[in-house]
Amino acid sequence: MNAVLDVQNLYLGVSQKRHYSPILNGVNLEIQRSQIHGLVGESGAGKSMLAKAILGILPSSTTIDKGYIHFKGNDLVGMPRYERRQLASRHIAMIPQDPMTSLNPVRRVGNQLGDVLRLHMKLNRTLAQERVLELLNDVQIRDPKRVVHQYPFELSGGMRQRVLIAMAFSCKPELIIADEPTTALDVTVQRQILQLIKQLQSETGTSVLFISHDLGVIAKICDHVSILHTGNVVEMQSAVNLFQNPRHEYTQNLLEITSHYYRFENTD
Amino acid sequence: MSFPFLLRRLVLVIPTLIGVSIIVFVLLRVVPGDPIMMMIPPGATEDDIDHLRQLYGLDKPILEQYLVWFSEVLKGDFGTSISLRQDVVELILSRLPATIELAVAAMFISVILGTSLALIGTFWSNQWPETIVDGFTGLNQAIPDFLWGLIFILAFGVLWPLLPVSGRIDPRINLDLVSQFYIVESLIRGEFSVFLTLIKHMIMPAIALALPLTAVIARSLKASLRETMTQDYIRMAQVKGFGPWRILIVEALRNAMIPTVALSGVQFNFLLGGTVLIERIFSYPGIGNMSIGAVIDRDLPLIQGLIITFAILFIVTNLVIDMSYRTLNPRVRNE
Ligand SMILES: Nc1ncnc2c1ncn2[C@@H]1O[C@H](COP(=O)(O)OP(=O)(O)OP(=O)(O)O)[C@@H](O)[C@H]1O
Ligand SMILES: [Mg+2]
Repeated sequence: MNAVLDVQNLYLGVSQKRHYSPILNGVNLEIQRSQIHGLVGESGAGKSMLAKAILGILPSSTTIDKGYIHFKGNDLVGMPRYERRQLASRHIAMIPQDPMTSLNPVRRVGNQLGDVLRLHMKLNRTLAQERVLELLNDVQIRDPKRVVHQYPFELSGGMRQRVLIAMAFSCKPELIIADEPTTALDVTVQRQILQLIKQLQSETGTSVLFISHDLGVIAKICDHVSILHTGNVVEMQSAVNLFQNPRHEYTQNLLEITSHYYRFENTD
Repeated sequence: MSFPFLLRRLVLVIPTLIGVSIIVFVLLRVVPGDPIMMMIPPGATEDDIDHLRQLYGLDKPILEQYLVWFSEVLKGDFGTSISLRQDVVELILSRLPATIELAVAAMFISVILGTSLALIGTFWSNQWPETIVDGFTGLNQAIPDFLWGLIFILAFGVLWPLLPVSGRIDPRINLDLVSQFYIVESLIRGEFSVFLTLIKHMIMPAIALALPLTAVIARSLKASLRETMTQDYIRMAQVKGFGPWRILIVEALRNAMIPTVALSGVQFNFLLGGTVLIERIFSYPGIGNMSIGAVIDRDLPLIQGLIITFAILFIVTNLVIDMSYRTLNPRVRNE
């Protein structure tokens, strides 16, 4: 089997004031090794919830009612918290949606990166510092020697997202979850960040779960795409096939709306 | 820490102190109570009284009195205590270290205890430890420091006599310390038995002083820790696999401390003001205790000196708090 992550029949819901509402109703999602797997769906479809379930950071009001998340021969759902942390934090990383709030505002960028390396790669302080400079260089940050001593508020949004991408790739994870990693950035920076993720992914062979509602972005970088609709994956295809031959009605509508939008944008 | 910031603050100290001195000077001469009447022996004549008045310069107009006092203060002379007939500066300097040791101990206790309670309440939030922390802070916000002082004396001095209830040190102990900072000096010299009795004397007044501030710190810090724990960078640290205590202390605490430190300046001033009653209750020989005596005796020069001393303590405390605020918060650090 070549899947890095295998989500099977996942049911998940949220309880608020004794009122239970389901969010995911039997989701299946298989992410193959060294691929970028897109996850598309309307706002509120539950994409972020699925990502959080995989990462183990669901809000306390949320429960997983049924199903499995298979990773490296273990079911993450049933695992004790400590063991899960040991396994998942080393091999599953995250690129967050909002780079402005995802770095600790009172800690220097270099220390935040270095701590992760020291935790997982067992590097000592000096080696970690050297490695941090290399990592920042890999994400095309100019003048890494200066940036390591800076605080997040001294960096632009694009720079911060580069730092977070460096952090995500730093421990050579098997899977990176990127939940709308460019929505908080302006358009020109978005393109650079996408390219960077794509490039690092192909260099390292890491798998990426790429969440977005922008089909244009998905088309550009994904190998496979899953469509999430009303708490279910209604369609899974290779990116090429999906755009040429969408099977589910919802996908067809989605593509149609998007193509209108693009036609409109292009003639403008 | 940028030097201009300190400099700016230090320059502001001078007008503040002048303002304080004017207000005190005028107030003391407007309120009823005549220092001369407090000191004359029975059967003194009008002439004696006038003589004394002249001696202490109290027959002159307020403005002139102030200017004379102020020009002497500039030379470092705060005059002579009317009731104790000693130099005011000497009197205050002999008692100030006791108050500084007490206040610093109380501040230390409240910061350590308040922070620990906030961390415990956050780590086990919605569980019984948080309930206990909330109960403790609620209780301590309702009970003032002097009441704690009385409760402690009753509990550990009378009902269950564990600790000495008055003074700073056992009078039978032969002290050969050179400074008035007994605790610091005994520690430096390694005289641990002396150190221990000092601590025994200080522990009750220090805790009584510390408890209200502990409650304020615990409450405000817990609220901002709770808010901080919902931030994205905390989620990020969880994904990275850091342990829950490390996340709480390394990632959350420093951020959460910023608003608490900003708010605690006033609270530290309350603690300093609390030394007046607490030192009285425990007969602790500091400037707080001395202040009450000075007020009762209408000892104008001593009161003036004491109030200026308290003003300087307030200013120093707030300066330290502002500096730690700037150290914690990189955004304002280099402004
Ligand atoms: N903390 C929460 N508590 C309760 N319900 C929540 C919470 N977060 C999200 N939800 C609900 O769960 C559902 C799925 O939310 P989710 O954030 O996963 O959507 P999404 O697909 O990521 O949307 P978007 O594209 O806007 O990010 C939504 O209906 C939302 O109202
Ligand atoms: Mg989302």
